[in-house]
Amino acid sequence: MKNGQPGKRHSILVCDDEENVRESFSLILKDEFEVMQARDGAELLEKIKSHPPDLIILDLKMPGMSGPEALKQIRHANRSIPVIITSAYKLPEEVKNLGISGFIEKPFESKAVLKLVKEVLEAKK
Amino acid sequence: MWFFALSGFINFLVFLTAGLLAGIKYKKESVNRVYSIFSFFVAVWSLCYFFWLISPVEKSALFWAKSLNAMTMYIPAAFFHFVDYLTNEKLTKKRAITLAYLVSTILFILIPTPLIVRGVFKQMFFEFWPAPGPLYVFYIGYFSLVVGYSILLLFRGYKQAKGQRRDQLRYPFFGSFIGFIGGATNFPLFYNIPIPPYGNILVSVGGLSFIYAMLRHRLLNIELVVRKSLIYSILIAFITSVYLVVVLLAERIFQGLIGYKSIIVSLSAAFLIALFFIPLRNKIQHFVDKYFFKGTQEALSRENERLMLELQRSERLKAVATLAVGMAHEIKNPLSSIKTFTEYLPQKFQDADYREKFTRIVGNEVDKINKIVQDLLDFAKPKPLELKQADIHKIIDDTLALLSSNFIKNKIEVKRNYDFSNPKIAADPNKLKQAILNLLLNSMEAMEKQGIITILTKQEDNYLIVQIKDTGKGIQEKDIPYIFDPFYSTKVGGTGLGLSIVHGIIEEHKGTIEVETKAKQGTIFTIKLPV
Repeated sequence: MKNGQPGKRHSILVCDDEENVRESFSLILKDEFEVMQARDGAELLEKIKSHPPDLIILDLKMPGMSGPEALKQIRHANRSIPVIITSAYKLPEEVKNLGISGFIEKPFESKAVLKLVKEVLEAKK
Repeated sequence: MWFFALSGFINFLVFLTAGLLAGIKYKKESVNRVYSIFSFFVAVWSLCYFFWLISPVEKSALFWAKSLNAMTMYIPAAFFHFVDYLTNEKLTKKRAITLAYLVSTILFILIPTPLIVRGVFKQMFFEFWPAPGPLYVFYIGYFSLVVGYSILLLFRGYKQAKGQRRDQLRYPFFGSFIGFIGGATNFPLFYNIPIPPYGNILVSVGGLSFIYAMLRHRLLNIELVVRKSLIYSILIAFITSVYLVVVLLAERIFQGLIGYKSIIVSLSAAFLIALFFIPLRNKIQHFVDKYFFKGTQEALSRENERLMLELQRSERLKAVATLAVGMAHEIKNPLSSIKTFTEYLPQKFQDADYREKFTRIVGNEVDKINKIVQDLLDFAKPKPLELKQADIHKIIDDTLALLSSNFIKNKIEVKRNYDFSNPKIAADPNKLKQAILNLLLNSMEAMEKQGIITILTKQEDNYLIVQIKDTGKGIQEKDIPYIFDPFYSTKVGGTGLGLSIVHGIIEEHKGTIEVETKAKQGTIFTIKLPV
């Protein structure tokens, strides 16, 4: 198992249309994880194909393909990658049923982000 | 004597006018119908009063005295009925009102008998004053009770009312109070108390107060749209009638004095009319302008403009409030970045890459927040029209960006179908943004939750066309002619100004706006702006 190998860092794919928000997640996570970025739903799906991550952090509100739509496509492709949703809004009911592993409300605390990411990765093992 | 006859005639004209005015909206509003009925009783009573006082012989005097009393029997019930309707905006005391009408009807039926009026006799300087029958005192009691209670209800309604409603009820309350006190001065002579009915003329105050409240404060939904000419016509008819009555009475007096009908009397009366009519008419026009139309035409339009600005401001603030909710979320993204980057400042200070990103990202995010706040301020502050060459698509996109959070929240998809060939127009971007914003807010409300807004631009002749189409519930056909009118609203809590502001802004740009709508399918607003 790739994820179980010692020394191998977990990879996290952050998808948000705001570059500065992606950079913020990177800043929080890059010391302990390998961080990749996607600026919209289409790029996210692309990257999942080429470099499947261990965890996805996904913004809900994005131009083009929105977060929930992207999530539906991921699940449709039968991918069981855990997804953490992030948004400036409360988590909508219908998104809860799409099989998500956690929710981060903006503006977020770095410690809380780290804690949730670790918990989700731990549970995945 | 002629003074009392004249007072009756003036009362007749006043209540005829009040009743007709309220009757303009006769079919729609029941309260108007009830007021018209009340006015009818008072008007007919007043007319009988006039004929009674000019009756030369006992027989006709008795006939008119009985007729006028027949009418007074219904006045308390009709007034009570009206006051209940007016103060509660519906009937609440159905039983009591029915009972009052029943009492009135019984008294009315008894009029031909001597139980209420038993004859006419000389009383002070009145040749044929009616003498009360045994039941007349009962009528006075009934009148005092019902009218007194109604005035009390009106007073309570006025005290509890707020804003425009309070203004609407103020004059009717004081007017009715004075009117009924005046009317009641007819009672003493019935019981040989030597007080002549000088107060009878005050009955008019009651009617005038209603006319004033209807015209000035839109009581009974009578709008100022009532043409000025209509009011002038009524007034001219009014003075003409009063003059005719003066001539009639003068002839009667002079005939008594001179003993024969003289052409000189008629001629001098005609001369008097010619002499006084025009100056009096001018005076009355001036009076009407000043009190009903708030001064001259110019002052009126100034006042309207002031009110319009005030309301535009409140409408704009309402839009700002909607925007603020969306923008609060908008600010959360930059806040996330600023928060994260400052959190890492102590531990990563030595990291050059971090420092570079910190400066760029935090500066950038503060600018974003500043722009959001500035956009909000631009909407909150009114400004004069400032035309400059502007890109229509930037104006639309900026406006859409302001609402992007609201669209997400309401699950609204926005489709853009732009014609990029020549997007420049002479426009005031801030004002056009407000117009487009109001239309978008309107579409958003029409769709409640979920829907598609399509924005299309195209060139046509020398115009730039902007179409905003929604998939909302549409506008009802009967509302379409009025949607751009100020105050016309079909929404709960709507001020009815959103679309009228849009209309004003498009007109300022020398453009036009049209609407097409289909129930349950949606609405298309088409703006045409000169290139």
